[in-house]
Amino acid sequence: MRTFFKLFSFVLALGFVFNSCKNPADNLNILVDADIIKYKATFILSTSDGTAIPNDITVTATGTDAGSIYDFSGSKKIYAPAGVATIGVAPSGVPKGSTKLNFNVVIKATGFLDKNLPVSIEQDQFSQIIKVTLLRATTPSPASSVVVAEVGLGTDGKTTTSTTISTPVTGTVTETTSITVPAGVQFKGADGTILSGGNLSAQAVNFDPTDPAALALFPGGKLSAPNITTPGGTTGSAVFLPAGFTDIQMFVGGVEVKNFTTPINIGVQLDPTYKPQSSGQLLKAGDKLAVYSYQVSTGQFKYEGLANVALDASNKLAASFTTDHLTVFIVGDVVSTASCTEPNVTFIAPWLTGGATRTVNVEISNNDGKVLATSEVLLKDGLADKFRGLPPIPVRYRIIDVTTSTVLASGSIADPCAGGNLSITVGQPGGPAIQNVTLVLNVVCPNKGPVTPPNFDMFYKTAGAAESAYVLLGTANQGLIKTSLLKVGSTYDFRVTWKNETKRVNNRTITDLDMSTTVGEGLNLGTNTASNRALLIEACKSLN
Amino acid sequence: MKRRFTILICAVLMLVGVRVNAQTDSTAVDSTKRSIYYISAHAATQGLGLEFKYSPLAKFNFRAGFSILPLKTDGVYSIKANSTDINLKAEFSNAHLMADWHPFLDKQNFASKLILTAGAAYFWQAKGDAIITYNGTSYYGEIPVTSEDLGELYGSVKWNKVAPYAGFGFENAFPKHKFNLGFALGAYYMGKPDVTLTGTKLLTKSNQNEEQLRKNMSGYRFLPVLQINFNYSLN
Repeated sequence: MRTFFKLFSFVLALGFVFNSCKNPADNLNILVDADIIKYKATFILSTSDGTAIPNDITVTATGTDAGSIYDFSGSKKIYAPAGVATIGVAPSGVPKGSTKLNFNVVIKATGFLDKNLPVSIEQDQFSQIIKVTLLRATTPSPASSVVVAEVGLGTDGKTTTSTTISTPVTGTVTETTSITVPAGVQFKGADGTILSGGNLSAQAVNFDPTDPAALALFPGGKLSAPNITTPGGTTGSAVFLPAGFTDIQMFVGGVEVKNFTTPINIGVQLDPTYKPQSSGQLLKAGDKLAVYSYQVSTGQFKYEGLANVALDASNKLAASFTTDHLTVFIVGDVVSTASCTEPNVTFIAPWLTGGATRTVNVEISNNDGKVLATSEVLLKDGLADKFRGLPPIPVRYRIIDVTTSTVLASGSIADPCAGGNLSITVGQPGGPAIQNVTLVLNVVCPNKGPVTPPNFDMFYKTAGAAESAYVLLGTANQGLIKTSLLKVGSTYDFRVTWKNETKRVNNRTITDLDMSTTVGEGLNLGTNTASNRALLIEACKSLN
Repeated sequence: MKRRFTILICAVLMLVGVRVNAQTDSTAVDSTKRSIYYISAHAATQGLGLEFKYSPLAKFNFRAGFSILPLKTDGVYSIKANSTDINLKAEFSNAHLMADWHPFLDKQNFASKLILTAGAAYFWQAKGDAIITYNGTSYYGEIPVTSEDLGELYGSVKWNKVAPYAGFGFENAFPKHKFNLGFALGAYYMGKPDVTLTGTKLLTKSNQNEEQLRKNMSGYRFLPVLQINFNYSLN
């Protein structure tokens, strides 16, 4: 870019050639701002059983607009250090007008079920926080129960007797899923060939649809989906209201089973407090509920048929159906949202002064108190957002402070598909007086000078607390975070991820409301100078 | 020095392809036939213009006129691997008053044509603007960033409106023909320029270069003038 200046100066100085003055381009540096990515989504991963995030996570973007999706560092490969994956939209692919950006994010890790998350980004939806719970198929969680079983097969790969496998009743999951494989069934792989092996390895996960934690385990990570194939064959956006759902996998000789030569029977016990949309009354024997399937590899939901609701051998309401393939099965109502207009929401929180933020959960439930959606939001005064992916039924909302778990605002919406504008005044959390602490990170790149760092998410925890205690502090916008989550006089650990790097600043005491600092060669490079200098130089290289 | 001027004039004459033998051959001075009023068109590094020249005495002329230099160009320049669009606009427009003195009019050689000039101009336009954009793709990591997304740099240099002038030239004080040629070489003192540099979109941080560019340009205070006059005698 220095050549720009040379050429510019040359022409401007054309009439001044006799001056023999200083080169106009001397010591000039063209500085390209680093906040190139304006639209981002942050995936914060956790595990269903509370174990540490695995190190072998792979994250890929697929689907229609995946070409515009990059890691926030600018690479096509998406990283997830410390279980945080931040993706960004290339400037050339940002959503414009009413056209949304639609793609899927596929997350895989050894020992966990694959996640395929549909993501939609619309104009001015600059930042999203998406919490993802990785489910270990062989370990129960408070919202799920698991069965793992081995069934002996005949020499021809056939079951020799009728076998039933059931998930257990646990302290928190009181409903079960039962799979009955008749005798004489053979198993097929993805290519349709009969699988051979001495044993059938079966594992099933039954989810408690009444547990809000099960929302994160629902296929796609939420009850709404953009691509549900309805009984009529059309595909569009809709919301699930599940009475039960289950994930079943089988393997023969280490190869995953996809189909059977003879249909198998599945019984899914249902939420007894469930009210079908058709009647509005409690579920009862004799009702019929739809069964949908979900293919993780494609992220596609598909209508399978109607199931009869009846009392099973345990005297619990269950939906029984047969299937010739394995997948995730969902039993319940599906409400189309294809013609929905999402309501605009403005959050009023004047106690968050000067653009300060605070992490809150927005929880949406139906009138029976069943949670339909939750999302983590960086609240700030005047924040404009939308309530997305809600069914056209009366709902209630609660704004819950993540730090204190107190409800800061609540209300109801008669029809969240009818559009309109909603203003929510968010109360101030109780306890100590709110302090809005400013952190400003200025970056001076070697041989480039001051640059605007890209927006990045910062996590924090009380100094010395366990790694799992890290929570989102906020998004540094052009290097600036102003937050109400920190207290002057308290000591914290901070964590930032960039590309495949995790940068930690531990045991840092907040001494002032303004904790601005400048990082750069010859300036502050922290305690691990050599490592930080290398990180700085590497990050600055991307600014070409 | 004389030889240098001769070479310079010869070169210019070859360039414009004009015969000036008649003028340069003038050896006999007939002051009774001297013209007093001229109208003159000129082409110069400061632009194109017109002048009215009043010559009350053989040794002195007074000139009043104007010059306009409207230079505007769009160019695509390939610099190394990067192609650059530069939209340039230079505007120098002035009204000026000049006084000429023939110090060696009584000489019988080429020195008799030498004139020394002093004067001043009011520049109602004295600035240069440039809009610079990448004509290509930059990269943030692997993300292509088009020139449109990258933004533009606007550079602007402005000089004083009033500028003194000093110079010299060659002109026949007693031309034999209605048309004659003259040449001038000099400079306006424009003062220290005012420089602004503004970046848009991802180039806004480049504004920080403005002070450095101002320092670099602070020495560019003289506008040289190389001028050819096409004089027409009005009497």
